[in-house]
Amino acid sequence: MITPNTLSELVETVWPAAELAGLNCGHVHFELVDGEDIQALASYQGLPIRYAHWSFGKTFGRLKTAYDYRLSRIYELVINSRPAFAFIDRRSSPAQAMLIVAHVLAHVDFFSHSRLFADTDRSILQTTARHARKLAEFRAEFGAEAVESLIDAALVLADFPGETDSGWGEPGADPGDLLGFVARYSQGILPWEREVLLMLRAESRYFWPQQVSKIGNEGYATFWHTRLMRQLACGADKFWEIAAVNASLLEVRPPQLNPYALGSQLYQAIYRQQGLSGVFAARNFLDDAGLVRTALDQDVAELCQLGVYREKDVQESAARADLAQVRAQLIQDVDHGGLPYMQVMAQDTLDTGILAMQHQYDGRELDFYQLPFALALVAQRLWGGPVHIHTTRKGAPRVAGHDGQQWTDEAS
Amino acid sequence: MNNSSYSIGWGESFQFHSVYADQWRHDQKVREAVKANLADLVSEEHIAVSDGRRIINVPLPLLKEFRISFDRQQAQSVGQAVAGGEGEGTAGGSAPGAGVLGGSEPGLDVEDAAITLEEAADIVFERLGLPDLDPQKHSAGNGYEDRPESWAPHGLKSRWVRRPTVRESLKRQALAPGRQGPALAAGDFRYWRYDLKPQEEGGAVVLAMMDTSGSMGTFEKYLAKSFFFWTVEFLRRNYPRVEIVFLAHDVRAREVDEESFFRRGSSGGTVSSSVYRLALDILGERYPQDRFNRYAFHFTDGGNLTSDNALAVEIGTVLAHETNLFGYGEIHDTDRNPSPLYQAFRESEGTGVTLLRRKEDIFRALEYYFTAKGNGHDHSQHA
Repeated sequence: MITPNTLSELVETVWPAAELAGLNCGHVHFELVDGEDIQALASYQGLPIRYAHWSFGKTFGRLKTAYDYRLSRIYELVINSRPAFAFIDRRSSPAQAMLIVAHVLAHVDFFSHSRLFADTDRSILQTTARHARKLAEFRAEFGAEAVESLIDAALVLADFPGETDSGWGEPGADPGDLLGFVARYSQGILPWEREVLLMLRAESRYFWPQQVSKIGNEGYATFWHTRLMRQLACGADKFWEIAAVNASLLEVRPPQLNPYALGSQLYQAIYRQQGLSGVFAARNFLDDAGLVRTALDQDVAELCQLGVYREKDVQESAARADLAQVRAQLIQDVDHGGLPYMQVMAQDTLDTGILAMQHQYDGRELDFYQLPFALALVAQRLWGGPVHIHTTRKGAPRVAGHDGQQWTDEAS
Repeated sequence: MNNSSYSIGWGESFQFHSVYADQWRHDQKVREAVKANLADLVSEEHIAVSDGRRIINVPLPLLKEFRISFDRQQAQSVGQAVAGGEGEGTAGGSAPGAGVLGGSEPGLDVEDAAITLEEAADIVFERLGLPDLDPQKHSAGNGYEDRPESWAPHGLKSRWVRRPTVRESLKRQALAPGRQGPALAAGDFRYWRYDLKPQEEGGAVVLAMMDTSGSMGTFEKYLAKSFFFWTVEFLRRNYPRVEIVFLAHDVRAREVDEESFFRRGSSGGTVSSSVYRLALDILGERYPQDRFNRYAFHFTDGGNLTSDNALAVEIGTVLAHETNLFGYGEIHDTDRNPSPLYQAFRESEGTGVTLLRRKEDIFRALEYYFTAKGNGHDHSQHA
């Protein structure tokens, strides 16, 4: 159990050390909350006020169950805004909180220096709160069902908000911006629905940089909390507790990839070769794919026991792959947030009225089990007409589509 | 830069009540999805076996959040093993959301809702009821009512009851013969006391008749038992005081207790008239028509002894007249034609016939027989 006073003392201890080491955090607002609140916060992806949707409730139930059975625990959440917000579980012990503060400061430093986050919404808390209010108004005006089904459908395309380097960006201008394109050109939706799509697009653009820098972000924070905790002399009892938290963070549940473990090893490798300046440069410029490309060497692969696993043969252990194979596979896994590259075929779409999307095939096929349902939602609720995806399956080009009633899957 | 500073809050301005509304909405969607899956739910095998497993998994395709994503089944991905050990389990890197410290997310979306049998039964029975239930039949029915049952020394003035009051007064005076007291002392007054008593109306009896002859295969037995399992669950829940009589028959019919009814093996031939006759006897002896709503259900594979058919139809028709509803269910695992018994009952009045071919038909049969609303429900028009 920590109080603001304890936390304040801890921050006074850690902050100077972090600043001395080169971290630069601006203003950080710490907020002490209960364990259950942090589950709620995590199910809202860290943002305290979100629009009402059942999917958040579903995540909450799942997180809460995991927490109740002690399967997982969330110690903190950091929001990339100005000032930065950090939510900390008040039931942490002072020693745990010390590590958490160091971890938080490194996250904030990452958010404020990485090029990926240069254009994210600084006042995201206010933005999502406004969206929540707006959507509540729409629910009152147009009915809960209409708003819910709209969000259900929009979330299908929300994974594809386009390149986010350009800040807000004009909706639909970038071919990767599926949601923006639909919001701009769909003939099947009303003005308020267009507005909702743009709101969801803005939120998903806020999250996109986090999605492509999970390993980097966590690795960087873990790298720093390890370093800072080593520097700060503290008693043996505290040290023991800190080591215990650190170990639980780095615990590997095979064959899942632990971004804390892998990320910190990658940053360690960079530090060994190029010193702190290399670490800061990596923070500034690299997303996950870039980080792996730069820093994954034989040592890291062996330390982290990386291997290539296949979903099919779950029982067998990983085929021992050589470094080049692991590297190529890992880059593919983390590239583009682990999502397929999709592009709107804008000219075709505007000519024919059929929403046509091109999947940039890279050897991985789309999930044809989910696709009919996903496309049906888009066709029925968003586009109001046929939707096509041009992809490759079993080596041959195919056009999969849905016109609202019927699922089609033809060779092209 | 020297713009670094921090502030600390107690978290009191962050109360996440709205997530409970979202959770409620999710639960509601789960209920809707379960409702959409009722037919599958009812035919769920391990429920009917009733082996003490009171949690069931309902697949919820409606609640999967469908996305455009890679096919994980064929994919390969990089995973980690513990140093020195070999990795095992399913592949797939899962990572906590950015900025989340601690814990890893649960892996795959398992779109199953685990619900208890009670919850499932609530949803299944929401719409069901005994058809044509006549509330005028005076025997222990479903409801309870407040009735003046006894007297209390205190109560509302309006519930004053005179005769016991006078008796108390006389008693008091008789016990103390010499003393001259008031005719009515405060302690003499008696008032009606209302107690909750089972309502003596809408009484009903359900006869569960099952063919346990050798021709009943695993599938037929399973369907019949499932139907009766749900029927019994439904009656116990919605009509706790309704009496249920279990009759099993092959060539002979006998009354059995619930346990052996559901655990019975099968052997022997089939003479349906035997069980109808037994049913009529039991109804006549124990459940007179003026006091009971009477229901009878018979489930069989239709393989009745040919020489018995005429008699069975005759007695069955009598049974149909004697009861509010006589339900005759025939179970076929193949596409063979319905038996002569089925044909005959289909034409006769007051008999509801169903043909069960698939597991899903159990729920259809339940819905068909136990649609409470409306007396215009014509049970003879079902194919």
